[in-house]
Order: sequence, then structure tokens, then C-alpha cells
Amino acid sequence: MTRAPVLEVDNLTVALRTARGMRRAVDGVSFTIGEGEILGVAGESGSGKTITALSLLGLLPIGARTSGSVRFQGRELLGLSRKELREVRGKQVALVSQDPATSLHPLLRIDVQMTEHVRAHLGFSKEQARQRAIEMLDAVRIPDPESALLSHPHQFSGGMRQRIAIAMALACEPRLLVADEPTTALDVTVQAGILRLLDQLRRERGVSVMIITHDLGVMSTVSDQICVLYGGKVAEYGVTGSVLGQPRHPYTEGLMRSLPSASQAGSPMVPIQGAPPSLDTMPGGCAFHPRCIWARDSCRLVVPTLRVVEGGRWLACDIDPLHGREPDLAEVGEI
Amino acid sequence: MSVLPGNAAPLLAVEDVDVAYPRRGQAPVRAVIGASITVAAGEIVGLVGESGCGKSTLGRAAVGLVAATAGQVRYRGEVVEAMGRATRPPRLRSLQMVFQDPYASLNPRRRIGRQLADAIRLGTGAKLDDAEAGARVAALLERVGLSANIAHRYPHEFSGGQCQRIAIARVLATDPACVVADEPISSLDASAQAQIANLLAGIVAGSGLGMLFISHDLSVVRKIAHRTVVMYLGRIVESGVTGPIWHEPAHPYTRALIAAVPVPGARSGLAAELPGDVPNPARPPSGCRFHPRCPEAFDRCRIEDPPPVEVEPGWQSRCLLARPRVAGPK
Repeated sequence: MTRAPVLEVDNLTVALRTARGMRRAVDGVSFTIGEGEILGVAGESGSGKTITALSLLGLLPIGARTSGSVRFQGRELLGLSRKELREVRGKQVALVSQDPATSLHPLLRIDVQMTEHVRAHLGFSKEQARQRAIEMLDAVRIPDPESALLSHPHQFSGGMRQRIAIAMALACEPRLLVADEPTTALDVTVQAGILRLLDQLRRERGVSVMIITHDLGVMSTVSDQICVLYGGKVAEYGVTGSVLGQPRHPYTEGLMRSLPSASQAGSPMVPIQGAPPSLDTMPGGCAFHPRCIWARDSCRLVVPTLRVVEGGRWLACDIDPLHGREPDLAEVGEI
Repeated sequence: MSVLPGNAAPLLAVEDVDVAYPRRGQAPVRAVIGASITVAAGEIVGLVGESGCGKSTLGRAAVGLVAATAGQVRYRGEVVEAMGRATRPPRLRSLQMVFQDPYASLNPRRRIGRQLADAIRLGTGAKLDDAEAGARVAALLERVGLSANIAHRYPHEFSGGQCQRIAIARVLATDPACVVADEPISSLDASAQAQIANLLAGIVAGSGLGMLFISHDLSVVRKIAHRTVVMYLGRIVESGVTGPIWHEPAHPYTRALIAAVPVPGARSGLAAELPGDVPNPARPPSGCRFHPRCPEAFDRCRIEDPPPVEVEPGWQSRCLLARPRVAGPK
């Protein structure tokens, strides 16, 4: 990878205050995103993917404790003051959230929402900010941007609203876009358009993107690298094509096997048994062991270390499915 | 409309149903137009389409939660009346619904076991003492893959997938013959989606109930549905046996939907995009409702509303370009 990293997350740990004390929602997560690169972060609820994203933006809940390092263009983001964070957030690092219906203000016209932060961050005049807004709406292919600016969010469909939310995030020309499940609320046909847009942005503007999604189909079509999180830790991290094409972590492998498209027509899907752990029910040893078809006794006790395997891939599993026995699927039952 | 090869009498028949939502001072929105679907015992019928196409409205009309403004729904030959706030008549209690959000469909302040016992008593009219009810509850929980000893717990103690299992157990408590499942897996985690889809498919295979499975996730419908019905802007545009529809869709919209599904695995490239958005159902396009987005549209599409064409027996497409296919070598 010759491209300089825009974001370097190193051993990030985030502890959240819960009713039962401090709990680690993110536990030693590391990854980097290069310029114009798309990193996909995959994981189920409770995997720490959203908390990781929020920590990049300084938006963690009150009482959260962080350690490790988050460097953006070489600058440490953890521990910045609110004022310093405000300089970065929205300007250099922007967020696109899951639901465009809630990320846009329902009562304000699009022009108000799209120019405010541009004027505040870049010191643009009203007219300059309006021109920038038109340019951005055009970039995300909103037809007739000038009249779109005079409309309210409810006048647009879900896909259009998500395009507007992306245009808004792009207005200050951020170097990093954090997209938290940007297409989950959208239809597949609209989703394809949003994914094309993200791909185009990184190619034409060199924007780096961290896309959080549990949809491995989305992941494999747009991301260069994939980071699979489970129980707040990195399970597997590497080049998307190779990680999803030949998963080495039993969790990644299980996710792939559970997809409807992965198995033969007519044969049932093979889901991972059980449910992901919550902060209060985090198992000891490898967090995945209660659901793992490969688990051995040692998995209950030893937390696997994240190590580099071939091809620069990171893997946190002491058992290598590639070289082990065939998993005994009958053992875990159910169809 | 289309019938299974076995030609079994349908359990549930939606016959030429229109649903219109009234609006103050304006013409009503026609959310569903002339839709016909049959569901036979032991069959899963998948209903797919983009948001706003009317698939949920059609599902709700099928169980009598909204009134059909034209046409009718028959369950076991008898007309399903929209019930408003009235008590569901006993003959309809075996026609049930599974909803998208399991947390919203369970009572957060009532123990799981009690909710299930309520469903057994109210749904079947059985007079049970607590011990008998407890045994039935335990059997239900085990049937949906949960441990019987969770009966004393509350919904918030469970994950989304587990709650959906509980909601399914509650539907099974009424001993249903036909179930309409409206996006039952879309709010769940990746691994839970496959679990619940398999559970529903297993229940249908094991008990012979009929199911209308509404989903925007085409790959799951392909996996578990025997027949697939595709809706666009209130109209059913294609219906038929799932496998053939997937291999050779006869409607351009079905083709576009299938092409838009991203394929996981080795880097597969970006999925094809269908230009534009679903038009506002209050102001549908003239002629074929899909024509503004259709790559194959021509002059007549702007004027003529295409009638259903029987592509093959039991396979229909509402497209002016659809032609009956001559049966050739497989």
C-alpha cells in the first residue's frame, strides 16, 4: 500500500458506563485507511462497530473512557478539546448515518441545512455556500439542485434524502467519510446507486471512506479492505476479496455460510447458532467460542492474539479452519 | 391467478383486491390495484418489491387489518372482512401475522410465558389450567428453538432474533393454518436472519401451513419461497414459480431487482443500478407504471396499462413485451 494512511487507529479501547459498571465495547481495535480507500467494518449488534465510528468523531456517550490512539492525517484525535474537535468534525471527518429521515432536520429547508456548516467551517459567504451546496447536490446526482435547495426533506424519497445527507457531509470537502449503515434503510435498487456514488467519490475526489455494514454483499462490492469485528475485537482484517473469498476466522466463515446466496439452491442456509453477546454477557476466552463450530477447550480460556497470517491479513483465532478438520455441522443441530 | 402444480385448493385467496387510502380533500392513494395472490397449504409465497410498492398493505389486507376497497380476500373459502376494532371471529383465528419488529409486537411488561399462555387461551379457546398452559408454552418455546426455562423472563432480556422466535411461538400458539409474515427478518442481525428464515421454512415444511412471506430481501425469498410475486407501485408485475423467475425473469422490473442485489464473495463489482426512484403512488405514471424507469420502454408503454400475459402456465408478467414461451428442452 503506497497511499499514505489518512486514518490510523491503533489499539483503540473504549469503555462505556453501564448499569453494571464500566464495560469494554471496543477492545484493542486497530486498522488504517489510506487515501481514496474504502474500509468496510462488519459486525453484528454489540460488535463495537458503531462505537468505533463515534470515537473517530468524538461523539462517544458521556462517561466513556478511551485508550489507544486515533490519528487522522497524523494528528491525534483522542483527547482533543471540544473546540479542537469541532474543527475536525464535519469539516475533515464527516458522518453519514443510517437513517436519512432522522439525520435531516424535518422543518428546515435543504439550503439552510446545507450551508450552515459550510459558512461556519470555511468562512464562506452566503452566496459562496449556496454555490457549494448546488455543486454538491449535483455531484450526488440530485436533479435540479437549485429547486432542491428550496425544498424540505419530506419532499424527497428515502434514496434522495440519503444522497442529500451525503452531499451535506461532503460540502466541506472532508478527507474521511464515516458511513454508518448508509444503505440499510434503502431498497436494493437505490442502494446500488448510493454505493456507486461512494465509489465515484473516492476515485474522483480521493475521499477515504469507512463504511459500516452487516451486509457482506455491500461490503464485497465497494470495500478494498474489510475489518470484521466481534465482541469489540478484531476477528479478521484484510483485503476484502481474499477475506470474504477465503475466510480464515470461523465467524467470518459462518457469516458467509449463512448468506442465502452462498449455499446451493434448495438447500437451507446454515446460520451461526446463538446470538451475539452483549456487554454484560461477554464470554471469557475467545468471545466467539460459544457459537463456534471449531471451538476447543482452550478457546474457552485463552483470548486469541491478533496475528498476521499470509497476505498481510490479520486473524484472531488460534484454530485455523483451513488446516483443521471438517466442522461437525450436525453437532450444532438445526436444519 | 397462478396455481401450484398440485392444483390444491388455495388456503388464502386474494382476489383482484384494491386498497385505497383516503386523503382529505384529495383523491385517495391507490396503494394496491387489482392484486391477486393465492397461498396453498404447505407453500411459501414470497412477495417482493421496493418500499412503498404496497406489499405491506397487501399483506395487511390479506389478514383483514385493512379493508379492501374492491375485490375480496377469501380464507378457506370464506370472505375475510376487515375487522376494525371488533374481535376476530373464531374462523379467522388460524390466519395469523408475524410483524417486522419483534420488540414492538411483544408486550414489554408481561413475562414471555404469560404472553404465550394468553395466545393459547385466546387463540384456540382452550380452557387450560396453569400447569397445562405451562406445558404447552414449554413445547412452543422448544418448537422455535428456545429453552423452555425462559418462560419467566421479559422480552427486553432477549436479542432481536430471540424475540422474533418468541413472536413466532406466539403465532404458533393459535395453531395457525396460514401465516402472513411481513418483513420478519429485516430488522435482525445477519446471523439471526438466516436462523429465522430457516425456522419459518422448517415450520411450513413440518406443519403444512401456508405462508405469505413479504420481504425486500430477494435472496432470502429465492431461498425459501416456492413461488414469488413481484410488486411495483401497487401492481403485481410478475408472479410464478421462484426458480424459473430467477433464472429468466419475464418482466424488466424483476430483472432490475435481481441485478441490483450485491453478491458477496470475491470482489464482484458494483451491482446494476435502476435509475430513478419509485414514483409517488399518489401520482402514478400513465400507461405501464414502470415505464419511466424501464430500460426497454417504448411508445406504447406510456399509454397502455399492460394486461397480465401468461408466459408459462402459472407464470404471469404484466409487460407489453412478454410473450408466451414455447416449452422447449430444459
